[in-house]
Amino acid sequence: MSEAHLFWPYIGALAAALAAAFLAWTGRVRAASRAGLIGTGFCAVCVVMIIYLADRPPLFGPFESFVSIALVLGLSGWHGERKINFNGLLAKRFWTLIALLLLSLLFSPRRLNPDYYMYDYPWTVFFFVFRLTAVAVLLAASLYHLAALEAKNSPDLRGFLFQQGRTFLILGGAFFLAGEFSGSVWSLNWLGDFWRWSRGFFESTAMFLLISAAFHLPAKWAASTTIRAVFGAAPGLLIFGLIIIHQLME
Amino acid sequence: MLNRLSSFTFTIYSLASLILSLGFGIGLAFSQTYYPAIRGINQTLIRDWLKGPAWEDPLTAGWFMVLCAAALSLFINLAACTITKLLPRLHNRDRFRSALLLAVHLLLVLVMIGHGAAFFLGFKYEDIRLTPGRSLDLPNGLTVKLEEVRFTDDVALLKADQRSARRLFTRAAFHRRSNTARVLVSREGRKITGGEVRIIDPLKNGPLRLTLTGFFSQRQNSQDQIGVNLTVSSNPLSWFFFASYALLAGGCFLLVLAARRQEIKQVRRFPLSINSIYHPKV
Repeated sequence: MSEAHLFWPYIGALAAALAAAFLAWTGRVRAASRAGLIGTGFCAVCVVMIIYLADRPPLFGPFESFVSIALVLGLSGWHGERKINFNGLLAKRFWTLIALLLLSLLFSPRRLNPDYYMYDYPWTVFFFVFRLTAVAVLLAASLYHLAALEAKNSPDLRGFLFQQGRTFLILGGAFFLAGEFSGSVWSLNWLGDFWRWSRGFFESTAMFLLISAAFHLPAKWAASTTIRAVFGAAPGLLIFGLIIIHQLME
Repeated sequence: MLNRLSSFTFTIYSLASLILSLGFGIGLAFSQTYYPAIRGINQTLIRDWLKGPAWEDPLTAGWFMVLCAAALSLFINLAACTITKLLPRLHNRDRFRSALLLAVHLLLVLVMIGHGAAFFLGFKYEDIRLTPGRSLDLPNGLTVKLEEVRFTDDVALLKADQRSARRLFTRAAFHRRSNTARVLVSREGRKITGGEVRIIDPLKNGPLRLTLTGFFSQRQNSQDQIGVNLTVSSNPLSWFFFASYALLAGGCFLLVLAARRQEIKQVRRFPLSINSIYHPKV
C-alpha cells in the first residue's frame, strides 16, 4: 500500500459528504445523516491507512489534519442528529463544513506530512492529536451555537442547542488543555522550559482565554442570543483559522 | 468591593485585556524588528531579564508589564470569584458540579501561581553554544563543559535553513537517539552532574536540567566541526506546575460529564418530543 491509495477512501468521503450536505439542505435529514455516516466511515479508513503508512497517527499538514478533523466532526454531527431531529438545523451546517473541508483538499497535494524526527516522541504525538481533536470539537461547538442563532422562534430548542454547544465547548477546552499539557512536557524536555515566549504560545493562551470567555459572560450579554452565539462560535472558528495559517506558512 | 472584583463584568474585561495583550505580543513576535527582543525573554529567567536586557527594548518591556497587569487582574478576579461565588455554591443541590467548578478554578489559580513562580525561582541560561573541549562559566557559578559530540548522520543536515528543517529532519535522516553529547556540569572544579545528553533526553540532577536543544556545524581549519546548543535550567516548582495542569485538564473532562448530566435532565423536562419544537416557517 502507498500514499496513492489514500485517494480512493478520500474520494468516497468527499462524495458522501457532498451528498449529505445536499440532502440536508433539501430537508431529507435522515438520509443526510446516513450519507454523512458513510463519509465519516471513509474518513476513518483514511486515518487507519495513515497510521499504517506513516507508523503514527495523523498529526500535521492539510491532508492529515483535515481528514482527522472531518472524522471527529462527522461523529459529532451524526451523534447530534441521532436521537433528536433538529430538522436539519445541525445537519446542514455539519455536512456542509465537512464537505468544504474535504473539497479544499482537491486543490492541495494529498500526501503525508514529512516524517519529522520528533514524531517518535509520545508527548509530541499527544500534543498534535489532542490539538486536532480540540479543533474538531470546538468547531462542533461553533456549529451548535450558530444553529442556535437560527432557532429564533423556539426558545426551548435554542436553549437546548446552546446547552449542547456549551458541552462541546467544555470538551474542546479539555482536549485543548490536554494538548497544552503535552506540549509543555515536550517543551520542557526539548527546550529546557515548559513555557516559551513565542507566537505559538501566545496564540494558545489567547485561545484558552477565549474559550473561558464564553463561560463568563455578564448577565446582560448572556441574555442576547447573538452575543452568546458569537462568543460560543468564536473559539472554534478562530482556532481553525490559525491552523490554516500555520499550514500555509509551513 | 469583593463583589465587584468577582463580577463577570470584571472577568470579561480582564480576559479581554489579556487576550488583547497577547494579540499585541503575537504582532511583536511577527515583526522582524521586535522578534529578537521577544526571543530574548527566553534566554534567562524573567527576574534576570527584568534586571537588564528588558530595557534595551522599551516597547517589549512595556508590553510585558501590561501583560502581567492583565494577568494579575484576572488572578484577583479568579480568587475573589472563588470566595464569593464558588464556595457558597457548594451548598446547592448539584454538589458534584459545584465542587468540580470550585476545583477547576482553584487548579487554575495553582497553574497561574506555578507560571508566576517560574519568573523568579531557580535559574535559566539558554543558547549555550559549545564545541568539544570548550567550557562556559555561567553567572551563577556553574561551569558547563562539552567533552565530546557524537553525530552519526549527514552533516549537511545541520546546514539546512530553519524553514526546510522540518522537511529534511525526518526519522530516516536524523537519528536522535544515536546523536549524543557528553557534558560535565561543575562548580569550582567540583562535579555536580555529567553524562550523555540527547535531544529530548535531558540530563537531570534534582531540579537542575541540562537540555540539548540542537547541533550546529561550523568550519574550522577547513574542516567541519560539530557543536551543540545547550540550556541549563532549574525550576524547583515544575512538578507543582505539571501536577496542577494535569489535574486541571482532568477536571475539565469531568466537567463534561457534569454538563452531560444536566443536558439529559433538560431533555427529560420536555413533555413533548423535541422533534416537534422547531418550526422554521411559523
